[in-house]
Amino acid sequence: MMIYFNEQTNEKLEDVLNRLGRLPPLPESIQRINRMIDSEQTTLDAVGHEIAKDYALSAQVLQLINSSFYGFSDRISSIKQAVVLLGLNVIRTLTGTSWVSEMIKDSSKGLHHHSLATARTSYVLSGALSIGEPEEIASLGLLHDLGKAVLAKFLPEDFQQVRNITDHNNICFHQAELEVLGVTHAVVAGRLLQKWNLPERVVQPISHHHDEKLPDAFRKETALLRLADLMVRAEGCGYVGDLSMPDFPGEIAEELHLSLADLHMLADEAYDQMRRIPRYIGDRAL
Amino acid sequence: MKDVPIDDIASGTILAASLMSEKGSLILSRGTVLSDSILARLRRIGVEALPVSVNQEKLEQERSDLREAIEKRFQGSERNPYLQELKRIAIGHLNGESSENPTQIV
Ligand SMILES: [Fe+2]
Ligand SMILES: [Fe+2]
Repeated sequence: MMIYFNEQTNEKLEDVLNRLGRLPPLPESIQRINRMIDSEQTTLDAVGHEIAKDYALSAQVLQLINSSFYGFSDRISSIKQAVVLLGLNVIRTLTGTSWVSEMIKDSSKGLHHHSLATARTSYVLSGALSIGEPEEIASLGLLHDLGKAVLAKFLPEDFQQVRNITDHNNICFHQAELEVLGVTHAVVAGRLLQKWNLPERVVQPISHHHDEKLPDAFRKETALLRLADLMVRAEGCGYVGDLSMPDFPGEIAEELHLSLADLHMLADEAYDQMRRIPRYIGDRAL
Repeated sequence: MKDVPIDDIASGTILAASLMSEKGSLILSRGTVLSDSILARLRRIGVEALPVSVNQEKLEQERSDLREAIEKRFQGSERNPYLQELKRIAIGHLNGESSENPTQIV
């Protein structure tokens, strides 16, 4: 599936992607694992073995799913166990996420904090609303603002121009991006994640997390991600370049069958998780 | 002086009482400025909370700044019931309400 836009958006997106220049390709070790997962004859054991061979990668994947990262119980302590419990599709997302998320870690403290809080909140919402696998849905939260990290690093002047607008006006970052670049960080991230072979269930919700309306595909996942982002921003957890809340269309609550009382309960639970993000996390000590 | 969870302590905070090991030897003396590396080391040996002096005035100031930030964030969202609810919740959390004692929902 492709991400569909009108022609004008596509042109602007191509322009931005061209100016971003050559971004690194997905590491060969992860590509090899993806190929194994895609092949028909593969076994869980073989994939687990391949990941475990790459010490850094397996450490990162375990870190993604165990308590040092999300603050949940150490349900999974080895790659072998992760492969069995989560399945190959989720493992594929996690290997990609572990590599891509380095870019978020290396960006600003505020964005890193915001991303981590959104990941934790997505995890909470996934479990409570029974949407997707929590470990995979958490990746949506972690990576959703990847586009901001990329723009800040590779198009610093445009990024600064966007910041100038949000600093002086009561508008959201993605609205200012439309003025300056013609596309949002959401769309840019979607294209990059697609290029890096993340699955569509991750790519699509991220691409559309600032659309006015929910997209036709992956509606629930997109609604969940938008809600997580709103909850984190409501608490002022982290900083993402602007100070005003994005819109919260009724469509989101309807899609997730949420009453105001449900919203309150979930927001309390999410806040408990946000509070547990240690202060030092922003210092890249993750 | 108050025992504050170690993850909530910012670097630069001052230790309000000396820290002794179980055997009675001094680990850190009162007045030590807690740096990130000291905090990380304490965390590693399993320290969960530390006595630090809480500056009441500073705390009040922080809270009122945060309150102001919430107002600013939600400016213009008065007619959206969901955003209004998120705002109420955030103010509640700022005032120390959590899931243990949820606010009454009207
Ligand atoms: Fe965003
Ligand atoms: Fe965000």
